[in-house]
Amino acid sequence: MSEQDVIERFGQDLDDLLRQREPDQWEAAPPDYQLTLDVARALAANDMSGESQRRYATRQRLLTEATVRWEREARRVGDGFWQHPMVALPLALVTLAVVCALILPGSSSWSHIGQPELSLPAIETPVAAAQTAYAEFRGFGAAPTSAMSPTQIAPTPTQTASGQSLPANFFIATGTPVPLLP
Amino acid sequence: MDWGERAAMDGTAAILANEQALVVRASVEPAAFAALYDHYFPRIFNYVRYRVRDNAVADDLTALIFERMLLHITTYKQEKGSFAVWLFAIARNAVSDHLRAQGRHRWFSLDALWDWASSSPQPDEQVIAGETRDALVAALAQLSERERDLIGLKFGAQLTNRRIASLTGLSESNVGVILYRAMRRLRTTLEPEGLGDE
Repeated sequence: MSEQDVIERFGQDLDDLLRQREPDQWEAAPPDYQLTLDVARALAANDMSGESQRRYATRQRLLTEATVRWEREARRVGDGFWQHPMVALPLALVTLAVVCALILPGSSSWSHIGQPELSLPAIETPVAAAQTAYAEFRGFGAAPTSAMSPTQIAPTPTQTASGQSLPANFFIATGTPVPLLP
Repeated sequence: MDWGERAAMDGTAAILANEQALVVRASVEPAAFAALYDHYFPRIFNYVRYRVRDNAVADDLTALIFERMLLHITTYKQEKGSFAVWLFAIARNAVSDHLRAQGRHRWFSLDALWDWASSSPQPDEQVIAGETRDALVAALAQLSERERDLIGLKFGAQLTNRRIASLTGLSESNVGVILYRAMRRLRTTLEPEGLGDE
């Protein structure tokens, strides 16, 4: 019987001892085999874990520390969501728009959303204003041939006879405000 | 889920039936970590006690090992080996670091041996509790560091020779040879003191 055979058998018997099973009898075992196995049996039967003085205190401490770490990690993940660019940028833009709408309600173009579009532009150019005024006062005289220089429009004879007159400061002029009301 | 559910024997020590699920959840779920701690504590503590001087140091190192387990458990990959091998690799490193820092390799305390011999009612250990105690301490101390490590992994951690081999880098047959010869040397040393006599 070779030493390798004995070693293999010893390994099997040792595993049996550690499983708390008694190894099978081995009739052909070498003379000192059983004595060696007895030393292994003594070691295998030994459990020193009961000598620990801090088993449960350590368990509690580690669980507490782990719980704190897990909660901190969960908060960090939550904060990270709001700091992500795909979330933070749209959120900032929406916030800015809401603030603008609240602070500047009159100037906000948002106030027109959903309302019918106005037929006239908000601000007329001087030329357009002049043309509008001219159209309203068309009966007072002929249209000016040129709008490049200030020209007082003279009333027609019929208008003079009926007592109608233009304001003294009524001029057609490009680039200057035109008062539409007396 | 019953975290304490146990499976059949794996090698020489029982493993948790849902161990892999526990390992995955242990990084986020206290109950899973607690189940792993409860299951592995005796084996870790025993292994450490086979290699260090006293209970207080063994408690410190065991706590350190489980702290490292908790810290690094997300790095464990099942395809690289069993969780037990991964955990006892942490244990070996922790003990080795401690022994290096201490500058000595006193691995087994006399007090522990006295307690060990007196706490068990089994006849074999009653023999150890007798006049051979000092001789056993001397015999264990005569083993090499590698032999003490393997005895700790075998009797303390209750790992199979295959797992010890994967942990230490030795071949499985070499582990068996080293263990057998170490036990024979123990027996030879103790024989005059009567250990093992029927």
